This record gives sequence, structure tokens and C-alpha cells, in this order.
Amino acid sequence: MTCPMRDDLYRYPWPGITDEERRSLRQHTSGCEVCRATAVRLGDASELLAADRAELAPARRVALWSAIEAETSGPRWGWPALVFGVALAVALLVVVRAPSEDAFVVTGGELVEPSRSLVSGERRTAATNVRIERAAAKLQLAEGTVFTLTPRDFVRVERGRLDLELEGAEKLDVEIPVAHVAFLGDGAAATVDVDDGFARVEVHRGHARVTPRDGTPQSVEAKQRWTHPPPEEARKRHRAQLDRARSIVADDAPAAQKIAQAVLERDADDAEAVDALALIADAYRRSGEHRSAADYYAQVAAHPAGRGYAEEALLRRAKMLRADGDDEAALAALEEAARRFADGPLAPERVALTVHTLTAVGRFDEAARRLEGAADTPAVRAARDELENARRMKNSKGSGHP
Amino acid sequence: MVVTRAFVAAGARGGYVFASALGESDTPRAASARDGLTLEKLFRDHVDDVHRIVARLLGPAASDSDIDDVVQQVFVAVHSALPRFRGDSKVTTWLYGIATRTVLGHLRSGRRHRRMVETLEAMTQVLPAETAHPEAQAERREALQRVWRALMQIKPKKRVVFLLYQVEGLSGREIAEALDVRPATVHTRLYHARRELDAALAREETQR
Repeated sequence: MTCPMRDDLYRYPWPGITDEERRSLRQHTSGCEVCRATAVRLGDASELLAADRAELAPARRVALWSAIEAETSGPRWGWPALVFGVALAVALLVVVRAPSEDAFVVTGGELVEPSRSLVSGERRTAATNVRIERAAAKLQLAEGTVFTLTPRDFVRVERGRLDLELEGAEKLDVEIPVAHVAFLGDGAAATVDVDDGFARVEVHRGHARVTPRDGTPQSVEAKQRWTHPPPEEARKRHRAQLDRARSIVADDAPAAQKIAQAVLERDADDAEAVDALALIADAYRRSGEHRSAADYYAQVAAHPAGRGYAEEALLRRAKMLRADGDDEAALAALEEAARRFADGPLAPERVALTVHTLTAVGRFDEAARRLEGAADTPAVRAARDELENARRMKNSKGSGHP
Repeated sequence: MVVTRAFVAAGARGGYVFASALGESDTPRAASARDGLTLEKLFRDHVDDVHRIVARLLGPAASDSDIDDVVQQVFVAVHSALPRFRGDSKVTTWLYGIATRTVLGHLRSGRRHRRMVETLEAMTQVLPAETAHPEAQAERREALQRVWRALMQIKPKKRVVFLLYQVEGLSGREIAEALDVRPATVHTRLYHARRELDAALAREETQR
């Protein structure tokens, strides 16, 4: 069943509709079964839709503002390092695990999944007391929660107040009628929702800055610097940076060294740290800074995760020390290599280098003993030749012949 | 924001009449004070409206995370557009325009649209409990689910106009400004949206 007037109903109010047309349509609709059914259907649908209003919870409001501010913030804090830190925080940090058990305590509230980081887009809005969110790198604590960063530093959310106490710093109070606090680790920022605006707490390398609603920043210094395990994204980025450093070290050693140093100074894991140390050492070596290179090779060799590189690192350290004119220190490095890697794959090279060094310092007999039983490799043969030449030279000088 | 609907109940069922406040005579007031508008102020004053409109345009199948992502995108876009805002239209109209375009961009993904339709199909609860009576609650839930199933059959461009006009109470001119289209386009989309929605709802009724 249809009605030719129903199209007018769909079209209502068309531009230029007159009062007469309006009245006429109303009259028709009240009397026409088809048009009245349409009006009821659409009217009911509109009412149902209008009644279904999604509310924005305060916690989501704060989370949204934090995320928006992180995405849109420019250098308006006048603290470039801080801004860099905030950007890094978004990219790098997972503020979840504390360095030790007693440095991570929550009382009076509940900390949910402290070691889990949520990927961007998986926001949690359930009634949990603490929310950990990678997208904005934040913790949210419910009212009555005390979050201890270290035994001496803590953030407390209690009765609408945020107390931020940092070791060696004055106490800071920020009023927060809504008890949701975002807190970030080193190089990060927090936003607290206040009456008519947002106050901001920022932490960067032991400095905390709070900008309450009157807009006057307060800056305090804290002794504590927090370290956190980097998330998987940071792992990937570290790997990419180290690969990049490796690819340019031959052509641009200083740049490679800078990249590796940056990875090392962040939350590099053991494997990344060894890689970075080795790259820094290589960069110094290529730059002719032998002593610095030797020092870094020593760090690689001594690193708990550096066993796979240690033998080579010790030989390189010895070479660098020799280049720096310190044959005794070079011999010590070679002794360490012999002790730790007696049958290592680089044993022939080690023997050869040891013979070269002993020959250089005139300890010919000792050098000869080192050659006994050594594998017959080009490097060992070269060392043997050098020793024989050195002996001949010495003998010829002693006999007075040219 | 006052919700104005084209079709309002007047008395008993069957006595539906047209609302007189249909907004065509509404004149958008030009924003008088562009100066002093900051992102934070806009966020504080309008995030609830933006959130509501985004949630409404995305529909009940959108997760909180989807809604928050779009709201975030809206304010990031607002941040970029703020220096160019001349105050020719109301701040709310301007904001709704950005919100609507962002939502349309979000819905442009066919995969996302399909996922939302599937989610809607799988949903058993789409309406928060407002009425105490369990049977009434269930009835409203089912009714709203039917409405959304029908709405999702309409193309997003038309659906958005229907929701802005019919549910959010924006005038045709405000919607035209917000979407940067001609008022005639708004009327055409509204006409088609109503016609298609009516047909879809009628089909739903016969399937019950």
C-alpha cells in the first residue's frame, strides 16, 4: 500500500514550503494510514536514537586530553629538552615496572596489571583503579591510591588532591576534584583534571614541573631518575638505529658513534648495549682515538652479554693499546684472552699478536715459546718471520756486522 | 544542545504531528569572539558534544576505543584548523563539521563498516538500562537495535545528515555549512535517508 503524499513527508520541510502546504500535509498525515505509519516509524526511531546518549567518563576525558595534547603540543613550555622527553615518552616508555620490588608499591587502591603495557587503541575504560596505557604512556590512579615510585618518592591521590613528593624536593599539591591522575616516568608528562582546566605535571631527568591552573609553572629538582624497560617498539627502533650506525660507521664514524651512544643512554637491553658498545669502539678506532676504542672494547669483553664478542674485543683492545704505545697493557689484554679463550677460534691470531708484541718489547725467548705448538696459519708464520728477523737484527748488531 | 526532531509525538500514538521548530528559519550566529579560542578551551567546552556526536554517528557497534580515536582525530584536526577559523559560523557548527567529516573518513573503510555491521548483528545490548522494568528495557533494546540495523543500510553520507538533522537538531543550513555542501544537497540526502530508513524499518517490522 502506498500514498503519493508520502514523498512529501520524506521531503518535509522542503525549501520555500508555505504555511498552507504545512497545514495540508499535517491534515493528510493524520488521516492517511500509510503516511501516519511512516511518521510514527521515523518519529519513534528518532526518539530512540536521541535517548541513547553515550556519556564521556571523566577518566576518558583526561585520557583524551592527554593524547590530544601529546599529539598537538609544540615547544610552548620553553623547555626543549622536556618536549623532546615527552615525545620520547610517547614513543619509548612503558611506565610499568619498577627497578625493584620495594620501589613499586601501591596501597589504598588497586594497581591493575603493573607489568603489562597496552598497545595503542586498546584503551581500558572499565572500572579499574589503575589504567596503564601505552598510547599516552600513563598510569591512572583512583582516589585513595598511593603509588610509590621509590621508597621515598610517591604520588598520592587522596580526597581530590594530588600530592607529588619527590626525594630531595619540596612537596607539591595540586587540587583535583576528579581523582584521575596521569603519571609518567622519566621524560614524560602527566595531566590532572582540575575545576576549569588541566594542570600538568612533567618529569624529565629528575626534574618535575607542575603547571597548575593559574599557569605559573613551578619547577623542582628530584634526585631520582627512573628507568623502565623499553617496549617492543623501542626494541625495534634500537635495532634499526644500531643497524644504521653499523652501515655508516666506515664512512661517518662520529655519526655512528653518536647514534650508538644515544641507544646506550636510553633503556637499551643487554644485547643492544653490547652492540652499541662495540659500535662505539669501532667508531673510535676508525677515528684514530685508540685509547678510547680500547676502553670500549674492554667494556664489550667485560659485559655479561658480551661473551660472543669478548674474544675479538680483547684482541681489538690489544691492537688499540699497541697503537697507543702501551705494549704492556696490550699483553695483559692478550693474556686475558688466552685465559678465557684458550682454544677460541681466534687463537692463532692471538698467538701472532702476542708474538708481535713480545718481539716489539724484545722478549724474544718468550715469543718463541708462544709459537711452540701454534697452528701454522699465515698470521702465525708472519709473526715467526718477524721474530726471526728481529733476532737476526739483534745478533748482527751485537757482532758488529752490517 | 537542544534536540529537535522533525517528528514528535503529540498525544497518543497515531496523533503524530510535525514539529514547528524545524530550524530552517534558524540563523547561524556568527561566532563573535574568535580571539581567545584555544584548543584547551574548545576541548573543555565541547568535548562532550563532540564525543556524543561522534558516538552517535559511528553507531552502537563502535567501541569506546574507536570513539576515542575519532574524537582525538577531531581535536587534532581542530588544532590544525584553528588558525584559519574566521568565525563565519558558530563554533559548534564548525566543530560538528570537522567531527562529521572525520567520522565519514573513518567510515570510508569498507572493512570497518562491515565490522561494525557484524558487531551490531552480534550485539545483545545496545541500550543502557534506563527504565527499571526489565521487559521494557528489553523492548527498547530490541527497538533500538532494529533502528540501527536499518540505519546501517543507508550510506554514511545520508545517514549522517539524517542523524544531524533528526536527532541532533541541526538546521539544514547548519548541516550544509558543517559538511561544506549546498543546502539543496542536504535536503536531497535527508529525503533519501528518510525514504530508505522508512523502507528498512518497514521490512524490519514485517520480519518480526
